Amino acid sequence: MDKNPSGKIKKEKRILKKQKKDKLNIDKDQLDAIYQISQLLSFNVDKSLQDVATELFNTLGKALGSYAFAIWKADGNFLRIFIVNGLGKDYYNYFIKNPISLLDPAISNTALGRAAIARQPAFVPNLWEYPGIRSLPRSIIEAVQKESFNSVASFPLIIEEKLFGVLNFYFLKTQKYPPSEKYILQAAANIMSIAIGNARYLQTPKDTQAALLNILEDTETAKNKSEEEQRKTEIIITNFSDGLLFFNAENKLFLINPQAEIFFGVQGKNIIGKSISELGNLPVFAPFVNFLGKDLKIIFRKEFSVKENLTVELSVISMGTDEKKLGNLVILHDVTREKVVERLKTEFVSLSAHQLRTPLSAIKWTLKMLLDGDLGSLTDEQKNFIDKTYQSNERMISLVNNLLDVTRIEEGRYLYKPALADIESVIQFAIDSYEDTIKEKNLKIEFKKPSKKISEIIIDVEKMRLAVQNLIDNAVKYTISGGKIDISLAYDENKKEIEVQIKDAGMGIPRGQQSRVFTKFFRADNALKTDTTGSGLGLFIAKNIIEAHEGRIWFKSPAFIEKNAAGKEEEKGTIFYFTLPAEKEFNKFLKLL
Amino acid sequence: MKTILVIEDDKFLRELIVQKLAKEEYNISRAADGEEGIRKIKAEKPDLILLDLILPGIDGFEVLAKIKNDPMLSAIPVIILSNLGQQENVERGLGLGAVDYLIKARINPGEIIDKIKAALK
Repeated sequence: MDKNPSGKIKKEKRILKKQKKDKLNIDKDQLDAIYQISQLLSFNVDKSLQDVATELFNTLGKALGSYAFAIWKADGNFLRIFIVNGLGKDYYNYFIKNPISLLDPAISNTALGRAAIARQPAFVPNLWEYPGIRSLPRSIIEAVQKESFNSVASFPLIIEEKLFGVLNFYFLKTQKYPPSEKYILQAAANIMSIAIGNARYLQTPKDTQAALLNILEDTETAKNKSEEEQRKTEIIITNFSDGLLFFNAENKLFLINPQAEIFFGVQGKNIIGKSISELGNLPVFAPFVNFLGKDLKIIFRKEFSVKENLTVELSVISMGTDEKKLGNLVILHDVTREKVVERLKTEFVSLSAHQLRTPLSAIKWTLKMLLDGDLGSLTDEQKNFIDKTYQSNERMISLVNNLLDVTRIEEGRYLYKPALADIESVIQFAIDSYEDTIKEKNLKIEFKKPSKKISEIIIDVEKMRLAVQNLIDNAVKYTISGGKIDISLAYDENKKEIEVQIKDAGMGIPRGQQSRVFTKFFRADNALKTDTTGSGLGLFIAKNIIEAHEGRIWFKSPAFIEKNAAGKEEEKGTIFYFTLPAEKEFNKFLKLL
Repeated sequence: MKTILVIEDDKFLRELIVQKLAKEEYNISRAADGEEGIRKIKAEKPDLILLDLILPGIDGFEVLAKIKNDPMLSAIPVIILSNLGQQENVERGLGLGAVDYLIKARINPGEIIDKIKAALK
């Protein structure tokens, strides 16, 4: 039997009373909160979504004992943190950088995930006892641990039947979430949904205003930037030392810079907007338009004479992308001075070379007369020396001839007399002119002719002989005694081309120097060692001759590999190839005359 | 004995040719420019003329043209002896009536003599 039955009952009654009173107080608080919140439903133009959320928190949240809340916004398969109150910056920043993926199975086990996926409220009374927490990534657990909440309630926010996002209430202490509390929290979430819905529908002016101001600011910045860029470009174009003309996609003149205005002696404002053909009607522009052609094709640094005393290098560059053509830019680079200097140089070389021939002839004749005994008899030793001097002088004469040829090539006065001729006999002539040297060096030379005789083609015979001679000269010079030279002549029916090959068994052309072989005065190191007397002009001249005939010239070195006397493999030989078009007429050639 | 007139402005070259010609027993006459050359042609009526093209005053082409236009002189054979090597000059010279065109830097005195002998046959 109980010692103090009435005392115990009194105590129980007191406890019950207190509990009821407490509960009443809690209920009262909560009712108060709900009342206040309902006020929020009345839409207020001055409030932004953030404001509403903050008020919500300050009233209801506090009443419920929640210390923080967060609204997450749904974005496709992600939840992005949107509005927070009461949570630390680290938490916010972490989830800004790492939106929650609803496709992640670990997330679907969290309150947040469940609220978003199942669209039902989800309660986690104690985070750390919750089994799902173990499968979350380390980084999320750490972000959560930095905060100090232990319990979470998540509510889906449904607006117009779509998931707007999730509202999370965070509690420091573990919560039991009795039905009344769940009910109140749900009510709060509903209110939040309505508030958001209102905000979206009416686009809270404050939000809108802020948004618009942002957009305006961005636009201003972008505009200023683009204006600045434009100004920079304008300054560059105006002060550019080359003439610039810009034609738009319809080939109408869009822009002309001051330098170009000076070149043509025009004022930009008078001609902007004119098409290319309209410009062609103006006398100053006629040659220019003619040169460009109707379609403004791409040109790279071609010389063009704008007017007397003004020669430019003209380039046409296409502007825009493959999809969108913006137009074409014409650049005029003044090279008048360079042309004058070049002409003076060529004239000087031409004049000097010519003047040199007289004393060289005098020396040649004197030495010859000495050698012929016209000026008395000579000892063998004297003869020897004078003979060497004679040879040396011959080389000087040859060099002077080459220099003169080069100046004539540069002046464009090189090809003289095109005529129908038999290429086979030209080659044979060239071979024959080396008969003596070939015999001396005991070289074998074979000329393979085509079975069917090639018809005559138009060539400048004298120059073509010279070109072939230069090639044979190299073959003979750089092949050691006893070597073989193969020359072949063929006709390609399909390409309507004649092809000549000159193959030697000589020392070849070093790979590193092959790109310079056709340049003026260039001699490869191995050639220099063998023969110090070459001018380095032979191939330059030969190339010019072949190309003036619209042919091509190229080479392959080494030509073959051979085992030498010691059994070691050696790379040897060079093959020079050139082609000539086998047509009776070609326009460019005739234009040169 | 045949007379040969040498029209050449370079003194050394002129004397070299003269010396070579003397050995072959020709009579030699000299002129150092075009005008002097024409005077001597008219006065002496040589059997052959060795004519340089680059001369002070009127050039060799003009001298040649003048001789060939004069019926009394046009029969005299003219051998051009010049350093102008381009084909266009060769054709012009031969076209004006020269019997031969020799390039100084390519030919030897002995060869000049041979050409003279051939022209005088």
